[in-house]
Amino acid sequence: MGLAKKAKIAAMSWAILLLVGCVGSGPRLSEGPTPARAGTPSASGAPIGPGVANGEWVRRSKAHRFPKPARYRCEDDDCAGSASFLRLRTPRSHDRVDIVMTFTIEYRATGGDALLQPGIRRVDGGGRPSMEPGDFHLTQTDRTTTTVSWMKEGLRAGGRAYRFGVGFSPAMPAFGEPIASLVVYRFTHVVDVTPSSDQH
Amino acid sequence: MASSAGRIFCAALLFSVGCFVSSIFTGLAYGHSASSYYPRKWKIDLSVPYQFSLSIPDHLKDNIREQSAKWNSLDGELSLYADGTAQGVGYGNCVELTYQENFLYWADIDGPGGTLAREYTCHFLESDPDRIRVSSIQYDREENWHYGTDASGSNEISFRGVALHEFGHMSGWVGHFSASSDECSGSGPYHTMCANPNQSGDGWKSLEQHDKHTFNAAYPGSGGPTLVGDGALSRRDQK
Repeated sequence: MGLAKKAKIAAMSWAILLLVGCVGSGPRLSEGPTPARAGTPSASGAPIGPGVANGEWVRRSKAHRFPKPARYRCEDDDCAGSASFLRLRTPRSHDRVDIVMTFTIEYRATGGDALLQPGIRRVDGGGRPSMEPGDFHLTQTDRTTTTVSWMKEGLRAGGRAYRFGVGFSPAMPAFGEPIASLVVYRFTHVVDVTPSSDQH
Repeated sequence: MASSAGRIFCAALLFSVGCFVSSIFTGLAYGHSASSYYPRKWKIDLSVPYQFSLSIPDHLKDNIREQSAKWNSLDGELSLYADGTAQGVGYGNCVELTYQENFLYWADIDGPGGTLAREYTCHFLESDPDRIRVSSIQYDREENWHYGTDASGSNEISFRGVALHEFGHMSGWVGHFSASSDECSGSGPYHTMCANPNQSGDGWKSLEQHDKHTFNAAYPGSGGPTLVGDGALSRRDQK
């Protein structure tokens, strides 16, 4: 990865942290494009999400606060989890885009680790590209907040629509523990799209 | 006339109160309620398809269909039906699946013993976090399975029983009857939604009283074909 790309990701990360800091007292559920800076095209009228203009990057985000904490558990042969999704149509003007997906979760995990799973799926069916670095384990802990980011470089664009998801659930119970439990208080889910340096 | 009507009213009132009190004590005696076992449920389209992943051996498919049919025979408004074979994307994957892509898998879980099978339920957040959207089941191919309807041999596990049990979880049933409850340790029939098959491994082959009424309390019978969305027949009822 080049220095320029690292710098770009670092800048995105700081912007995301700023956004996360701002949503703490935000609405219970909001979803929509968040322009990274003035001049980014508006998403109004777009059925799925904003496109990307030349030289610009675009963010789509959602903040969710549960009215009462959501509890998911794994017990013996029975497990439950949930997921958050953002839909976004890639720009027709670019063949490839780079994706950074960031998920900040306020949670409590007992009886074992919790698991965050990233996923991309084309809205019209077909491929399921993977994101790096894949599944992420949250160690069991009392109530805390954690931010995790994933990347996908060179995702095929050209107007394709994708659904970007993050699944969250307890992992299987730790040895000797009958039940693993994940309690989620709130989360923010952010997807940033930039034109890829490699358009082929 | 007024006196007669009053007596009828009082009799009806006493009967209603009696029924109410009786239902309370019955519930206490059972020690469980539908809401505690079904905190989240399938909703709206209650005709739920499941797909065999490519890993499921053909000889198991009819066996599996029979077990989902046992839950359907309770005439609740939920029905679980086989809907062909397809490439699955993995047990417990909530992010790469869409609504009602419910796959069954035949896979290595933890070798012989331990976990025989497991079920995973996904709840999405768009509109109703208590609505089940996707479920998947994984059977451990390493077990010493017994596939027949006759009694399992020593150290064998009835596949039919395990399949029946996991469909209970697919319906939304969370947790199990307590091991010390009458359902799992009493002199009566051993219930399918106990946590483990009984000692002979044959304990889960039929739905018993409290399996049934817990399911039916969560999914009362509708008495007719299932309608979905704009009133069209559900996919199952079209078949």
